[in-house]
Amino acid sequence: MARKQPIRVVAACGLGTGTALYLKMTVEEILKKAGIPAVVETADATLAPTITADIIVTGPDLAEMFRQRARAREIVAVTNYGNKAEIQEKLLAAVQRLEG
Amino acid sequence: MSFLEALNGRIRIVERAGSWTEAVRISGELLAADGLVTPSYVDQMIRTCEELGPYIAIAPGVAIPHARPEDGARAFGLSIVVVREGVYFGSHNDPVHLLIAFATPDRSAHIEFLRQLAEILARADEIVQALIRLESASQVQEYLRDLLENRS
Repeated sequence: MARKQPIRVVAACGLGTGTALYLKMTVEEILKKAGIPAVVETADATLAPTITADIIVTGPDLAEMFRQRARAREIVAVTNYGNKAEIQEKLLAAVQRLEG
Repeated sequence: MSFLEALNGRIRIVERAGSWTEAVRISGELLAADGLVTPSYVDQMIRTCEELGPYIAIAPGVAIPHARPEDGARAFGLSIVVVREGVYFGSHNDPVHLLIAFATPDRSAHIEFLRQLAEILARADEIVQALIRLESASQVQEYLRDLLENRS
């Protein structure tokens, strides 16, 4: 089950500087452990919905905003950024849905 | 720069705050008082949250107020405000008792801070419960030192 293309993930927060960077580190770690090739970038709330990504990972408030208009195929809403298990579970579920 | 170096003693404990806005302002003014940010940075920390929602409340009881580097961040640094009674951001992670504000003049200077923040967030419940029972800023400092540095 070799994957040809790495998945494209955007870690987004309001400004793209604080929580997005934090999420990016966590997301990269989780995907690497799961053996899923991925390119993870950060974006702010304005940029994120315009990116044609596979997955956007963000907080619940921005997720709600992005669902109206984002170009990404999946939006993952993380409530507790300190809970790696939550991030992992939601992220890997989204990856599975991509593979449909 | 480690979390404690970046914090440099900027810690305030308050019993209560009138609103999340007031709590964020206190955290920003600690940064401004040391010249790490301009007064407009503090305004922008609040405006960002008003415009984009309470996303800075990122773990149970914990929020990380900040603005953009270009909003007036002069140097990298943190401040901590402990609100014993908690404030409400309208978030799943309310009530917030621990505000960790930061300023960074560029987008990469704070990676080590984010790693140590991860350690704090992973144990947010326990840490918040401990912090609201402490009496002084120096006790908060000591608690964080034990937490972040005295690990085998």
